[in-house]
Amino acid sequence: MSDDDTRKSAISVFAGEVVLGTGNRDDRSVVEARLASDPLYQTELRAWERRLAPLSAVVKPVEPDAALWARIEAATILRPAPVEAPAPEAREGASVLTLDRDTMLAARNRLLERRLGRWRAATAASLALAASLVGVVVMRPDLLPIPQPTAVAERYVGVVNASGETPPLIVSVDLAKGEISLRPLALQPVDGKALELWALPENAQPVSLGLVSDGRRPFAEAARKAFTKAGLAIAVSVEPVGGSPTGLPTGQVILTGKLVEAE
Amino acid sequence: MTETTVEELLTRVSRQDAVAFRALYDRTAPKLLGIALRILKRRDVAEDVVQDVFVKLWNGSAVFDPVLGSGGAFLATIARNRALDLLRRKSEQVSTDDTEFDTLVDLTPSPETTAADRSDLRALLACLDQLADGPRRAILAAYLDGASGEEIASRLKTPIGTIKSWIHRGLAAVRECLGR
Repeated sequence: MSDDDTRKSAISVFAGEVVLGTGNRDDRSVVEARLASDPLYQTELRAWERRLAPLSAVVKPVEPDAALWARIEAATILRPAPVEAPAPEAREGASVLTLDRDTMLAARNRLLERRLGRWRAATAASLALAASLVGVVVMRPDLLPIPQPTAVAERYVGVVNASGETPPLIVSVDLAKGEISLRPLALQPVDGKALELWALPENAQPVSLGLVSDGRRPFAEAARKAFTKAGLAIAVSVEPVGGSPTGLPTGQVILTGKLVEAE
Repeated sequence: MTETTVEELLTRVSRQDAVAFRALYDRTAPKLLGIALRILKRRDVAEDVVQDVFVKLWNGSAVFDPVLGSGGAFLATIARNRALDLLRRKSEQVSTDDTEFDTLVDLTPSPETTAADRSDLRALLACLDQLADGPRRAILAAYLDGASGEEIASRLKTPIGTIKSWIHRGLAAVRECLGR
């Protein structure tokens, strides 16, 4: 074996020990520092990962809790808008109406926290509502079929998700007409409660988009600007009959989604 | 219709395809949780590892390179690396239970293992089988359980110097045997 082969072999075995995670850590960091820029060492690290990875096949799978996916989804696909204010004791009830901007932000934080809490508690939820988080598809220009009395619908929209479940709710927004329409699909009512839809614009308080049972109607002008931003987060909360008394979400957030452009 | 491969799903996830992301999770999260749990022995920390892996995939800080092996092997490697980081960083979390990790290592592949991963496993096990019992058990304990050299020494009741030389020679032999 030539000196070069010996050196290669030594570096390779050392890389193997690093991948295995054995060996004295202090020694290791010294040698690692010396080898950090050595391309052979870097190649051998990857090579050992590849050589040993087949062993993972013998590890028995463990079914994760449903809450894990909810956490991952929250941190990725549905990543909430950045939350900049700390959440002091924002009070429930009508007083929220008189609060300043910071407190409004705090209220929104609380909403987001509830949403997260809801995700974490998804498996234990007592509400008789579908807990699954679903992409809510928003159609901008009058695309969604609100059935006309005699006409057959001419436009359709499909929501595709991994599980094949019917989404609870489809929201469509027509900026030209200033209208929003809510079309509940697999959404069960809650006895004695109303379900209210909210826009959650970044850096502003939630804007009510009306009750799920309202069907089609004009939307609040305050929502217009938010609609035109891609990826606006929206959410459905459980409120007293007639809607939130405060103008901000007061009940549990049971569904969230995002606006996407229709076409 | 043939099932979408993990490799295809990984490619789609790198383009932030949410459907593929969920499908990849359903397909691989149980295995990754198993890997992390075996090393960390704590379900909450192990779930953090799985979350970490998927967040990295989504935001592009872990990118699958087919040159480095199968998609499953790639995912297993980043999950194991992350679990090992956490294990070594928080030494108080090192399992203190006395489970005899070395007495009985079941080396049959779990059912969802793909044909390609099975054949990689067979090749590696054939090489490990050429080692003496001690070195083979030391390498398996280090890889599968995240055991440190010291832990292996105490559990195999063998001096640390011997363990190190077992692993050193064992790895050299495995490398030779695999021929790559």
